[in-house]
Amino acid sequence: MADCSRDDIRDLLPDLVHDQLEPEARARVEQHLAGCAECAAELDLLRAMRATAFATPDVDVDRIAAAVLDAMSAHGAPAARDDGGDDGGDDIVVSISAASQRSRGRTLTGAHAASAAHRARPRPARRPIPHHLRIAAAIALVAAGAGGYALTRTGPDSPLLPARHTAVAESGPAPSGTTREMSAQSGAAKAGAPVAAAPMAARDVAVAADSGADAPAPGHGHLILGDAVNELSESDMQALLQSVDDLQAMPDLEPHQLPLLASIVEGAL
Amino acid sequence: MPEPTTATDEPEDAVLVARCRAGDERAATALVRRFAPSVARFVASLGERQEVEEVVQDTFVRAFASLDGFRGESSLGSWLFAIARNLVRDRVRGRASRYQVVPIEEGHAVTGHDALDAAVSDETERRLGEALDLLSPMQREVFTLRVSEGLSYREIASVVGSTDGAARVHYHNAMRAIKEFIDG
Repeated sequence: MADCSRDDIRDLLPDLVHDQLEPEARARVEQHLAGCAECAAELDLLRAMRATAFATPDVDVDRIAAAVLDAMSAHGAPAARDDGGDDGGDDIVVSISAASQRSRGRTLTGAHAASAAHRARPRPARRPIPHHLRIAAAIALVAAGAGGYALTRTGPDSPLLPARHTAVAESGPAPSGTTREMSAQSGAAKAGAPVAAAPMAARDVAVAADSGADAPAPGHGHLILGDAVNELSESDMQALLQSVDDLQAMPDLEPHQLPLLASIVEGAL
Repeated sequence: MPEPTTATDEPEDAVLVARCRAGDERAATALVRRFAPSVARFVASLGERQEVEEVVQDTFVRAFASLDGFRGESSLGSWLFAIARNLVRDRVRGRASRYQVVPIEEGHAVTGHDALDAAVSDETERRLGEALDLLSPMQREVFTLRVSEGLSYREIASVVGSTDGAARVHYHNAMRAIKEFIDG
């Protein structure tokens, strides 16, 4: 297939394929094509390539549009309007730019067109945490820190080591000389029985929320927190609760997920 | 490239862009529907066949996120092609692999050319695909944008970061290479 010397005509052949020529240019090209076998063959080749070699991949345009809109709305773009006005446009650009910044450096993955939108979707607002659960979380946080501190202070030979058994003192007067030790796994109370396989958080901390609980006997090392919490001033408590709220890693607390902790705290209060 | 719109047809690109800037989601949807097939074809021609839809989606997300950066000096289509091209290149770099060209499958034929499809033999179709595979990446990009999408040399230059003249040379070199392959 030879090349015609009329490059000016050949340059316009793709435009003819796409029907993008002005009438005058189109007439000029078609007039040339009538007498030029090379250009006619090249035109056929271009049409054949457009028809076969540049096939449209199988993509779901509607799904793409929906995912793009989700990504836009996820970052504060205002609702659709039909007036075509441009007021507020700057706000949109800013908010969408934030989406772009977050998505920079990543690519939308595999067959997760929907998940891409899901990732871009705004995270639901955190539900307010009930006050008693916030207090419970605060107590658990303080207990974990204090427990870790206590264990750090004790060496492997320390008599406090047995304290890794979970021990939670019930509110109210406890029977003299008794301490309820509870398996954090089953929640079942076993008086005086050491728990060998309790999770670490429960294993390392023993909370006696009632000030009337017996002082830990030597060798048990129970951590008494009840009075310490009760002695916090209102402002200190608020600061403590705020610090708990600010913890990004703190999961949303659901009442049904923490019945044991809730009952303990309610009892302590 | 989508067919040009007329005054009595759908809104022009610039109108839709303005509405999209104003937060009109229907305008954004219209733009996606108008350009997604073209962008998908271009993405596929670059060798990205497995995750075309994801690249197209990411292209529009990024485009709409930076609409203020689109000054209208080039067509919206060429701007989208440039974004898609960069995304494909990023993905290729990320994979630390070469372009993976997947053979054209029969079901990919453009539906608007059924009559012509019938006239083109399977052998010719296969050879046309092979001819494209032989082009350099730049020749392939330029040839695709010119033949498949109907972009002008100026628009192609803006997409591939070249000049009008260089784009024209790449096109004619690609055309010559394809002819030689077909004739050979």
